[in-house]
Amino acid sequence: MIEVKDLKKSYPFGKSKIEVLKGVNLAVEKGDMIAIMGRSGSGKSTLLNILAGLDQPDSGIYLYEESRITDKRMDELANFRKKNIGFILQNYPLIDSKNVAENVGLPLRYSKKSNKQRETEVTQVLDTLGINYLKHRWVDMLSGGEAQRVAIARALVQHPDLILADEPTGSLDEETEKDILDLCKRLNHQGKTIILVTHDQHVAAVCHKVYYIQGGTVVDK
Amino acid sequence: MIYKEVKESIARRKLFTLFIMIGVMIFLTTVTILIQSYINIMQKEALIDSFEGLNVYQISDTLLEDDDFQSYLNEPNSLERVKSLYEYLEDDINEKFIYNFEQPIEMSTDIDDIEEEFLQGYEEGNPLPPAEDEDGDLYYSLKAVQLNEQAFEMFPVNLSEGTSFTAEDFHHANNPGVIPILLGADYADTYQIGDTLHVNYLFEEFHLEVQGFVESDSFVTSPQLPETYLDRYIIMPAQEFEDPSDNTEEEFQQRHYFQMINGAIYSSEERNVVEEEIESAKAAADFPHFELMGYSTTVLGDFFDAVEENIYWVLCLSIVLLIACSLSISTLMIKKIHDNYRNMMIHLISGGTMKSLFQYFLAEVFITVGIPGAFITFLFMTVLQDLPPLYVLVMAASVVGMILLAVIPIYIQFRRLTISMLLKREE
Ligand SMILES: Nc1ncnc2c1ncn2[C@@H]1O[C@H](COP(=O)(O)OP(=O)(O)O)[C@@H](O)[C@H]1O
Ligand SMILES: [Mg+2]
Repeated sequence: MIEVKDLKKSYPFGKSKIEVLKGVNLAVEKGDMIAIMGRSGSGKSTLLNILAGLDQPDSGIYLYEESRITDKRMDELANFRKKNIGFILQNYPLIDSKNVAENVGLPLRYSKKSNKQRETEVTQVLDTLGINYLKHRWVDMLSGGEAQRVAIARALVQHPDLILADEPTGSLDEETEKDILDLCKRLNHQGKTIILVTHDQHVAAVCHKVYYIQGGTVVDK
Repeated sequence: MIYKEVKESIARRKLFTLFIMIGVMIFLTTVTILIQSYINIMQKEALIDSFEGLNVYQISDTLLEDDDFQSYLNEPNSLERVKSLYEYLEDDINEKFIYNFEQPIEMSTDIDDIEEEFLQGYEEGNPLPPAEDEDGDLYYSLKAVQLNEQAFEMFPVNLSEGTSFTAEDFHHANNPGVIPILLGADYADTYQIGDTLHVNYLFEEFHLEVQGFVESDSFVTSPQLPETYLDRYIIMPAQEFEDPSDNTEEEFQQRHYFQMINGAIYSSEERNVVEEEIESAKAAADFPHFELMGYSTTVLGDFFDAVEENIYWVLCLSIVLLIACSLSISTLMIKKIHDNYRNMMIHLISGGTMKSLFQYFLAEVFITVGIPGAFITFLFMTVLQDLPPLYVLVMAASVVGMILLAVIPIYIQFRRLTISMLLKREE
């Protein structure tokens, strides 16, 4: 499903550059659930953003179901994200000027779905996660756990095949962490491919494979 | 979608946006004032041109003491000599002789509720009450201005209706007791062409025949008054009379001609040249009691200098406001960009692009400037009805200019933004 070859990415650093990814190779099969680990600053988020089609690498190839993502223009990338990717951002941010339904429905707006379609699809995904009762709440009224589920609902609302999660259990207590992991497993059983970035051995343990980013490349331990 | 995003964004900093909107309205008000001032000046351009480079010399008789005046009148041919001086000034002098005299006219009327605005003293706040004569008739003092033929030609007094004065109208010969007049625009509801006003001018009865109306906002100037708007005035051609038939008429003509020779010379020549001309006039008419008085550049010029000075300050204020508003808008928007990395990221993972994000900011700038712009334009179009169609265009251009000024810094800021920066800040 995903094939990454010799991916390089550097960031400008003053007048020079720091090379964060120095030739990453990675293959992910459909239905996989994999963990990416590594030290803080090793380039995990950088890699995830490229896989999500948010950012472009300096060089290398990224193939998603045989199509070259690395050649796409910005608007094509946006389409690619809409169609294929559900991204769960670190710390589960929500837009506080919108209520829960509007937050979850935002990707559907970008897909130009009608109000009615949006309504049904939002209700559907909230139902799946068992949080339909939150639908009309303002997001600043939500508890931490509720906010996470809403953010996940937003990632799932377009029925993406690939779910990317950046430290999904970063600052959670054990119980919620377990809930989220169960949810990930459930989604994986439903056929979603999942790539998550984590520090946490417990999380890594439930994944099929664990990769480490070290010195700018991915190693398989 | 854009609308919704902009609404939410404005709601985040309502007060600041409101503040900017008020600034935009004040800016556009100054633009409106500028447009109006320029229209005003442009309308008077013809007049300014005809006065360009001219000096004004007030001329006056020297018989100010009553004794001197009486003793002159007792001299032989006294009236004829004044008359011939006037004729010389009017026809033979090489300079412009302008007689432009404000003198109320007493009118008896059956209309007992004559509009107060036509009465002498109205502008000063105390319109003269009517006077009653022995027969119990009421006489109203109406504002009137007399113009000699040269004055009438020099000032751009255009008619909205009727016929203008001809050379004959300045000579009281064919139709004794009847003087053709023009009326100011405000009189249009009170009188019609062909109506006759029965008046008393310098204790002599006359019938004034209305033969036209001048365009509204027409005005004349004199060394004393930069602008006399004619809307509420009776405009009378300065009359030259035939020889008087009796004593009363002679006295009337004396008063009348002594008034008329107190005019002004408009000339581009040096003072001594004009002085020589006056000397020739005095000699030709055998009327030595006459002199060139003060000299000034035209008051009108000074007046327009003052107007232009005001315009200059309004223009400065306008530019300051333009810059202040544009800067406030860009500052606010750039602040919003920095405060909203997280929200922008959410939009990006939801299928938005940097382009769509920029559009939201652009739309917000449009609304912040456009709404007060449309409001102010509409407001002034309703309140000030005589604005030209071009007004909307100038206002639109001002709004667009402000938007452009505000958007450029925002655009530069946006260009520098990369997705990894948004992500980085988020952590
Ligand atoms: N926009 C950026 N500009 C400069 N350096 C960046 C930028 N984004 C990330 N970096 C640097 O790249 C490295 C990798 O970052 P990141 O992928 O976020 O690491 P991780 O997620 O593994 O902690 C870090 O050293 C970070 O400081
Ligand atoms: Mg990271």
